[in-house]
Amino acid sequence: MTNTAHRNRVLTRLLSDIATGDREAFARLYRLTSPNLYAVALRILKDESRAQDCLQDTYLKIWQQTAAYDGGKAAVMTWLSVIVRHRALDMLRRRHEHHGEAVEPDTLPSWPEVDPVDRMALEKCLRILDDRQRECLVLAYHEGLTHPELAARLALPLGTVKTWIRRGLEKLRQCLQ
Amino acid sequence: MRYRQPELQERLASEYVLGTLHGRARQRFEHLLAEIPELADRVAAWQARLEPLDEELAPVTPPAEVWGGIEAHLGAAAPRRWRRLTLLATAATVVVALVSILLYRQLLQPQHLLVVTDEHAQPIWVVQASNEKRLKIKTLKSMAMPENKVCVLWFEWPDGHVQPVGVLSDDPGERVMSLPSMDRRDPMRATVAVSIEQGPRPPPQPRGEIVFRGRWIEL
Repeated sequence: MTNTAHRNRVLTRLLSDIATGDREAFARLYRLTSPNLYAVALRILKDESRAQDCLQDTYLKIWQQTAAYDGGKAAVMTWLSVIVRHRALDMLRRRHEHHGEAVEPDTLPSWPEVDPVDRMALEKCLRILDDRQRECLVLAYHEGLTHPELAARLALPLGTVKTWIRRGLEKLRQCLQ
Repeated sequence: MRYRQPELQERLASEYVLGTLHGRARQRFEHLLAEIPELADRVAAWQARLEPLDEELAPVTPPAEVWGGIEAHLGAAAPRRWRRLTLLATAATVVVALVSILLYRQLLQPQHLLVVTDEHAQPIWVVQASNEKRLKIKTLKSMAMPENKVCVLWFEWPDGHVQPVGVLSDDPGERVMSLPSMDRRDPMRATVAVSIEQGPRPPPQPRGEIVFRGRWIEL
Protein backbone atom coordinates (compact mmCIF):
# COMPACT_ATOMS: atom_id res chain seq x y z
CA MET A 1 0.00 0.00 0.00
CA THR A 2 1.36 3.44 -0.80
CA ASN A 3 2.13 5.92 1.90
CA THR A 4 -0.72 8.12 0.68
CA ALA A 5 -3.25 5.32 0.76
CA HIS A 6 -2.09 4.34 4.24
CA ARG A 7 -2.44 7.91 5.50
CA ASN A 8 -5.87 8.12 4.01
CA ARG A 9 -6.93 4.94 5.78
CA VAL A 10 -5.70 6.23 9.12
CA LEU A 11 -7.47 9.56 8.63
CA THR A 12 -10.68 7.93 7.43
CA ARG A 13 -10.78 5.79 10.55
CA LEU A 14 -10.23 8.87 12.70
CA LEU A 15 -13.08 10.67 10.97
CA SER A 16 -15.48 7.82 11.63
CA ASP A 17 -14.48 7.86 15.32
CA ILE A 18 -14.90 11.62 15.44
CA ALA A 19 -18.41 11.28 14.02
CA THR A 20 -19.33 9.41 17.21
CA GLY A 21 -18.06 12.31 19.33
CA ASP A 22 -14.62 10.85 20.10
CA ARG A 23 -12.49 13.78 21.24
CA GLU A 24 -9.29 11.79 21.45
CA ALA A 25 -9.64 10.95 17.78
CA PHE A 26 -10.30 14.60 17.03
CA ALA A 27 -7.14 15.65 18.92
CA ARG A 28 -5.18 13.11 16.93
CA LEU A 29 -6.58 14.30 13.63
CA TYR A 30 -5.60 17.81 14.64
CA ARG A 31 -2.05 16.77 15.47
CA LEU A 32 -1.67 14.93 12.20
CA THR A 33 -3.19 17.48 9.89
CA SER A 34 -3.01 20.96 11.42
CA PRO A 35 0.57 21.76 10.24
CA ASN A 36 -0.56 21.22 6.64
CA LEU A 37 -3.79 23.16 7.00
CA TYR A 38 -2.09 25.99 8.89
CA ALA A 39 0.43 26.31 6.04
CA VAL A 40 -2.47 26.70 3.57
CA ALA A 41 -4.17 29.35 5.77
CA LEU A 42 -0.90 31.26 6.24
CA ARG A 43 -0.18 31.24 2.56
CA ILE A 44 -3.55 32.75 1.72
CA LEU A 45 -4.04 35.12 4.67
CA LYS A 46 -0.39 36.12 5.24
CA ASP A 47 -1.12 36.96 8.84
CA GLU A 48 -0.47 34.61 11.72
CA SER A 49 -3.34 35.66 13.93
CA ARG A 50 -5.90 35.54 11.14
CA ALA A 51 -4.53 32.20 9.98
CA GLN A 52 -4.99 30.91 13.53
CA ASP A 53 -8.60 32.12 13.59
CA CYS A 54 -9.10 30.45 10.25
CA LEU A 55 -7.62 27.20 11.55
CA GLN A 56 -9.85 27.29 14.60
CA ASP A 57 -12.97 27.86 12.48
CA THR A 58 -11.87 25.09 10.17
CA TYR A 59 -11.49 22.48 12.89
CA LEU A 60 -14.77 23.44 14.52
CA LYS A 61 -16.41 22.97 11.15
CA ILE A 62 -14.67 19.61 10.77
CA TRP A 63 -15.89 18.60 14.21
CA GLN A 64 -19.47 19.44 13.28
CA GLN A 65 -19.43 18.08 9.77
CA THR A 66 -17.39 14.91 10.01
CA ALA A 67 -20.49 12.90 9.18
CA ALA A 68 -20.76 14.76 5.86
CA TYR A 69 -17.43 13.40 4.62
CA ASP A 70 -17.94 11.21 1.59
CA GLY A 71 -15.03 8.81 1.21
CA GLY A 72 -16.11 7.95 -2.32
CA LYS A 73 -15.58 11.51 -3.49
CA ALA A 74 -12.27 12.68 -2.10
CA ALA A 75 -9.32 11.70 0.04
CA VAL A 76 -9.56 12.99 3.61
CA MET A 77 -6.67 15.40 3.15
CA THR A 78 -8.31 16.85 0.04
CA TRP A 79 -11.56 17.32 1.93
CA LEU A 80 -9.76 19.05 4.82
CA SER A 81 -7.74 21.34 2.62
CA VAL A 82 -10.86 22.37 0.72
CA ILE A 83 -12.49 23.42 4.01
CA VAL A 84 -9.49 25.46 5.13
CA ARG A 85 -9.02 27.05 1.70
CA HIS A 86 -12.63 28.14 1.50
CA ARG A 87 -12.58 29.53 5.01
CA ALA A 88 -9.36 31.43 4.29
CA LEU A 89 -10.74 32.79 1.01
CA ASP A 90 -13.93 33.92 2.76
CA MET A 91 -11.91 35.74 5.39
CA LEU A 92 -9.72 37.32 2.74
CA ARG A 93 -12.65 38.49 0.65
CA ARG A 94 -14.54 39.81 3.64
CA ARG A 95 -11.85 42.16 4.80
CA HIS A 96 -10.30 42.52 1.42
CA GLU A 97 -7.11 43.89 2.67
CA HIS A 98 -3.79 42.33 1.94
CA HIS A 99 -1.38 43.45 4.57
CA GLY A 100 1.74 42.22 6.23
CA GLU A 101 4.62 40.52 4.58
CA ALA A 102 4.78 36.84 3.86
CA VAL A 103 5.30 34.66 6.89
CA GLU A 104 8.42 32.56 6.81
CA PRO A 105 7.28 29.04 7.52
CA ASP A 106 9.32 26.97 9.94
CA THR A 107 11.11 24.29 8.08
CA LEU A 108 9.64 20.96 8.96
CA PRO A 109 9.86 17.73 7.09
CA SER A 110 7.19 17.85 4.47
CA TRP A 111 4.43 15.32 4.55
CA PRO A 112 4.11 13.41 1.32
CA GLU A 113 0.33 13.24 1.41
CA VAL A 114 -0.17 13.76 -2.29
CA ASP A 115 0.51 10.76 -4.43
CA PRO A 116 3.84 11.48 -6.18
CA VAL A 117 2.30 10.23 -9.41
CA ASP A 118 -0.46 12.85 -9.23
CA ARG A 119 2.08 15.47 -8.32
CA MET A 120 4.27 14.64 -11.29
CA ALA A 121 1.30 14.57 -13.63
CA LEU A 122 0.21 18.04 -12.51
CA GLU A 123 3.74 19.38 -12.84
CA LYS A 124 4.05 17.96 -16.31
CA CYS A 125 0.76 19.52 -17.30
CA LEU A 126 1.57 22.86 -15.72
CA ARG A 127 4.70 22.88 -17.85
CA ILE A 128 2.72 22.79 -21.08
CA LEU A 129 1.13 26.12 -20.13
CA ASP A 130 3.10 29.21 -20.96
CA ASP A 131 4.89 30.86 -18.04
CA ARG A 132 2.48 33.66 -17.33
CA GLN A 133 -0.58 31.46 -17.74
CA ARG A 134 0.89 29.11 -15.17
CA GLU A 135 1.75 32.00 -12.87
CA CYS A 136 -1.88 33.18 -13.02
CA LEU A 137 -3.20 29.80 -11.94
CA VAL A 138 -0.65 29.22 -9.21
CA LEU A 139 -1.09 32.72 -7.74
CA ALA A 140 -4.86 32.38 -7.76
CA TYR A 141 -4.69 29.02 -6.03
CA HIS A 142 -2.03 29.79 -3.47
CA GLU A 143 -2.78 33.37 -2.60
CA GLY A 144 -6.49 33.53 -3.27
CA LEU A 145 -6.16 36.51 -5.60
CA THR A 146 -9.27 37.58 -7.49
CA HIS A 147 -9.25 38.34 -11.22
CA PRO A 148 -8.76 42.11 -10.71
CA GLU A 149 -6.02 41.50 -8.14
CA LEU A 150 -4.23 39.15 -10.49
CA ALA A 151 -4.51 41.71 -13.28
CA ALA A 152 -2.95 44.35 -11.03
CA ARG A 153 -0.19 42.06 -9.80
CA LEU A 154 0.77 40.88 -13.26
CA ALA A 155 0.16 44.24 -14.96
CA LEU A 156 -2.23 42.70 -17.46
CA PRO A 157 -5.68 43.71 -18.69
CA LEU A 158 -8.50 42.07 -16.73
CA GLY A 159 -9.90 40.39 -19.85
CA THR A 160 -6.54 38.75 -20.54
CA VAL A 161 -6.32 37.36 -17.04
CA LYS A 162 -9.82 35.92 -17.26
CA THR A 163 -9.10 34.31 -20.61
CA TRP A 164 -5.76 32.88 -19.51
CA ILE A 165 -7.31 31.33 -16.45
CA ARG A 166 -10.18 29.83 -18.36
CA ARG A 167 -7.92 28.44 -21.07
CA GLY A 168 -5.24 27.38 -18.62
CA LEU A 169 -7.74 25.34 -16.61
CA GLU A 170 -9.18 23.81 -19.76
CA LYS A 171 -5.69 22.79 -20.92
CA LEU A 172 -4.93 21.31 -17.53
CA ARG A 173 -8.09 19.28 -17.56
CA GLN A 174 -7.40 17.85 -20.99
CA CYS A 175 -3.80 17.13 -20.09
CA LEU A 176 -4.72 15.36 -16.85
CA GLN A 177 -7.37 13.16 -18.44
CA MET B 1 -31.62 25.59 -17.39
CA ARG B 2 -28.23 26.79 -18.51
CA TYR B 3 -26.42 25.38 -15.48
CA ARG B 4 -27.05 21.92 -16.92
CA GLN B 5 -24.57 22.61 -19.72
CA PRO B 6 -21.46 20.51 -19.14
CA GLU B 7 -19.04 23.17 -20.45
CA LEU B 8 -20.41 25.81 -18.15
CA GLN B 9 -20.42 23.42 -15.20
CA GLU B 10 -16.83 22.49 -15.88
CA ARG B 11 -15.70 26.08 -16.12
CA LEU B 12 -17.50 27.18 -12.95
CA ALA B 13 -16.29 24.14 -11.01
CA SER B 14 -12.69 24.76 -12.02
CA GLU B 15 -12.74 28.44 -11.10
CA TYR B 16 -14.52 27.67 -7.87
CA VAL B 17 -11.77 25.28 -6.83
CA LEU B 18 -9.03 27.58 -8.08
CA GLY B 19 -10.58 30.32 -5.94
CA THR B 20 -11.31 32.91 -8.63
CA LEU B 21 -15.09 32.59 -8.44
CA HIS B 22 -16.24 35.19 -5.97
CA GLY B 23 -19.03 37.39 -4.71
CA ARG B 24 -22.52 36.56 -5.85
CA ALA B 25 -21.30 34.09 -8.47
CA ARG B 26 -19.66 32.06 -5.75
CA GLN B 27 -22.72 32.11 -3.53
CA ARG B 28 -24.94 31.09 -6.42
CA PHE B 29 -22.55 28.33 -7.30
CA GLU B 30 -22.50 26.97 -3.75
CA HIS B 31 -26.26 26.97 -3.79
CA LEU B 32 -26.31 24.99 -7.05
CA LEU B 33 -23.72 22.61 -5.70
CA ALA B 34 -26.23 21.27 -3.23
CA GLU B 35 -28.83 20.81 -5.96
CA ILE B 36 -26.92 19.40 -8.91
CA PRO B 37 -25.03 16.21 -8.04
CA GLU B 38 -22.86 16.16 -11.17
CA LEU B 39 -21.63 19.62 -10.28
CA ALA B 40 -20.35 18.28 -6.96
CA ASP B 41 -18.58 15.49 -8.85
CA ARG B 42 -16.87 18.01 -11.10
CA VAL B 43 -15.77 20.02 -8.08
CA ALA B 44 -14.35 16.89 -6.46
CA ALA B 45 -12.44 16.07 -9.65
CA TRP B 46 -10.95 19.58 -9.75
CA GLN B 47 -10.00 19.40 -6.11
CA ALA B 48 -8.08 16.22 -6.80
CA ARG B 49 -6.41 17.79 -9.85
CA LEU B 50 -5.20 20.92 -8.09
CA GLU B 51 -4.49 19.48 -4.68
CA PRO B 52 -0.87 18.55 -5.48
CA LEU B 53 -0.20 22.32 -5.41
CA ASP B 54 -0.77 22.26 -1.65
CA GLU B 55 2.11 19.88 -1.28
CA GLU B 56 4.54 22.64 -2.20
CA LEU B 57 3.84 24.23 1.16
CA ALA B 58 6.10 23.25 4.02
CA PRO B 59 3.93 22.31 7.01
CA VAL B 60 3.93 24.82 9.86
CA THR B 61 3.01 23.72 13.36
CA PRO B 62 0.41 26.14 14.71
CA PRO B 63 0.92 27.58 18.22
CA ALA B 64 -0.55 25.51 21.04
CA GLU B 65 -3.20 28.15 21.85
CA VAL B 66 -5.05 27.32 18.67
CA TRP B 67 -5.86 23.83 19.88
CA GLY B 68 -6.70 25.28 23.30
CA GLY B 69 -9.24 27.58 21.62
CA ILE B 70 -10.77 24.74 19.65
CA GLU B 71 -11.04 22.54 22.70
CA ALA B 72 -12.66 25.34 24.69
CA HIS B 73 -15.42 25.56 22.12
CA LEU B 74 -16.04 21.88 22.36
CA GLY B 75 -16.81 22.64 25.98
CA ALA B 76 -13.86 20.81 27.52
CA ALA B 77 -11.14 23.36 28.04
CA ALA B 78 -8.50 22.34 30.51
CA PRO B 79 -8.00 25.15 33.00
CA ARG B 80 -4.21 24.87 32.86
CA ARG B 81 -3.41 28.50 32.39
CA TRP B 82 -5.49 29.66 35.31
CA ARG B 83 -3.34 27.84 37.80
CA ARG B 84 -0.64 30.37 37.26
CA LEU B 85 -2.93 33.26 37.94
CA THR B 86 -3.33 34.74 41.33
CA LEU B 87 -6.49 33.89 43.07
CA LEU B 88 -8.56 36.97 43.08
CA ALA B 89 -12.07 37.52 44.17
CA THR B 90 -12.70 39.64 41.09
CA ALA B 91 -14.85 37.19 39.26
CA ALA B 92 -17.37 36.71 42.02
CA THR B 93 -17.79 40.42 42.53
CA VAL B 94 -18.03 41.39 38.93
CA VAL B 95 -20.88 43.69 38.25
CA VAL B 96 -21.75 43.55 34.67
CA ALA B 97 -23.57 45.93 32.48
CA LEU B 98 -24.62 45.75 28.93
CA VAL B 99 -23.28 48.34 26.59
CA SER B 100 -23.61 48.46 22.90
CA ILE B 101 -20.59 49.38 20.94
CA LEU B 102 -20.42 49.29 17.22
CA LEU B 103 -17.13 47.50 17.05
CA TYR B 104 -17.58 45.67 13.83
CA ARG B 105 -18.85 46.74 10.53
CA GLN B 106 -19.20 43.76 8.33
CA LEU B 107 -21.11 43.18 5.21
CA LEU B 108 -23.07 40.32 6.66
CA GLN B 109 -26.76 40.13 7.42
CA PRO B 110 -28.29 41.42 10.64
CA GLN B 111 -25.72 41.10 13.34
CA HIS B 112 -26.31 40.64 17.00
CA LEU B 113 -23.93 41.99 19.51
CA LEU B 114 -23.46 41.77 23.23
CA VAL B 115 -20.75 43.34 25.34
CA VAL B 116 -20.02 42.12 28.84
CA THR B 117 -18.31 44.69 31.03
CA ASP B 118 -16.95 44.61 34.56
CA GLU B 119 -17.81 46.92 37.44
CA HIS B 120 -15.54 49.63 36.04
CA ALA B 121 -17.45 49.56 32.76
CA GLN B 122 -14.47 47.92 31.11
CA PRO B 123 -15.53 45.53 28.37
CA ILE B 124 -14.41 41.94 29.00
CA TRP B 125 -16.05 40.00 26.20
CA VAL B 126 -17.58 41.07 22.94
CA VAL B 127 -19.99 38.44 21.66
CA GLN B 128 -21.00 38.71 18.06
CA ALA B 129 -23.46 36.57 16.14
CA SER B 130 -23.61 36.87 12.41
CA ASN B 131 -25.33 33.57 11.74
CA GLU B 132 -27.25 30.95 13.63
CA LYS B 133 -24.46 28.47 13.82
CA ARG B 134 -21.81 30.18 15.81
CA LEU B 135 -20.66 33.10 17.85
CA LYS B 136 -17.48 35.06 17.56
CA ILE B 137 -16.20 35.97 20.97
CA LYS B 138 -13.43 38.38 21.62
CA THR B 139 -11.78 38.33 25.02
CA LEU B 140 -10.53 41.85 25.59
CA LYS B 141 -9.21 41.41 29.08
CA SER B 142 -8.27 38.46 31.23
CA MET B 143 -10.59 37.89 34.17
CA ALA B 144 -7.83 36.24 36.20
CA MET B 145 -10.17 33.43 37.10
CA PRO B 146 -9.51 31.47 40.27
CA GLU B 147 -8.26 27.93 39.86
CA ASN B 148 -10.83 25.52 38.44
CA LYS B 149 -13.41 28.24 37.93
CA VAL B 150 -14.76 29.10 34.52
CA CYS B 151 -17.23 31.60 33.12
CA VAL B 152 -20.01 29.81 31.26
CA LEU B 153 -22.30 31.39 28.69
CA TRP B 154 -26.01 30.37 28.78
CA PHE B 155 -29.11 30.99 26.76
CA GLU B 156 -32.34 31.37 28.71
CA TRP B 157 -35.69 31.31 26.92
CA PRO B 158 -38.90 32.86 28.19
CA ASP B 159 -40.39 29.37 28.79
CA GLY B 160 -37.67 28.62 31.33
CA HIS B 161 -35.53 26.42 29.10
CA VAL B 162 -31.83 27.04 29.82
CA GLN B 163 -29.04 25.84 27.60
CA PRO B 164 -25.28 25.92 28.15
CA VAL B 165 -23.43 27.42 25.17
CA GLY B 166 -19.82 27.10 26.21
CA VAL B 167 -16.95 28.22 28.36
CA LEU B 168 -15.78 31.80 27.82
CA SER B 169 -12.06 31.96 27.24
CA ASP B 170 -9.94 33.95 29.64
CA ASP B 171 -7.13 34.39 27.13
CA PRO B 172 -7.21 37.63 25.15
CA GLY B 173 -7.98 37.08 21.50
CA GLU B 174 -10.82 36.10 19.26
CA ARG B 175 -12.45 32.68 19.30
CA VAL B 176 -15.34 31.06 17.55
CA MET B 177 -17.90 29.16 19.56
CA SER B 178 -20.23 26.78 17.76
CA LEU B 179 -23.79 26.97 18.91
CA PRO B 180 -25.27 23.72 20.20
CA SER B 181 -28.42 22.33 18.62
CA MET B 182 -31.35 24.48 19.72
CA ASP B 183 -34.35 22.43 18.61
CA ARG B 184 -35.54 25.28 16.40
CA ARG B 185 -35.30 27.82 19.14
CA ASP B 186 -34.00 31.16 17.94
CA PRO B 187 -30.86 31.96 19.92
CA MET B 188 -31.35 35.65 19.26
CA ARG B 189 -34.59 35.61 21.26
CA ALA B 190 -32.85 34.20 24.28
CA THR B 191 -31.56 36.13 27.24
CA VAL B 192 -27.83 35.65 27.53
CA ALA B 193 -26.42 34.86 30.95
CA VAL B 194 -22.93 34.30 32.30
CA SER B 195 -22.30 32.28 35.43
CA ILE B 196 -19.19 31.22 37.31
CA GLU B 197 -18.93 27.47 37.49
CA GLN B 198 -16.59 24.79 38.66
CA GLY B 199 -14.50 23.92 35.56
CA PRO B 200 -13.59 22.61 33.21
CA ARG B 201 -16.92 21.53 31.67
CA PRO B 202 -20.14 23.52 31.84
CA PRO B 203 -22.81 21.78 33.96
CA PRO B 204 -26.18 21.06 32.30
CA GLN B 205 -27.83 23.81 34.39
CA PRO B 206 -26.25 26.85 36.04
CA ARG B 207 -25.10 25.96 39.54
CA GLY B 208 -22.81 28.86 40.31
CA GLU B 209 -23.56 32.54 40.67
CA ILE B 210 -25.04 34.28 37.65
CA VAL B 211 -22.97 37.41 37.17
CA PHE B 212 -24.50 38.69 33.98
CA ARG B 213 -27.81 38.77 32.15
CA GLY B 214 -28.46 40.68 28.98
CA ARG B 215 -30.25 40.77 25.66
CA TRP B 216 -28.88 40.88 22.16
CA ILE B 217 -28.70 44.13 20.31
CA GLU B 218 -29.54 43.87 16.65
CA LEU B 219 -27.33 46.00 14.46
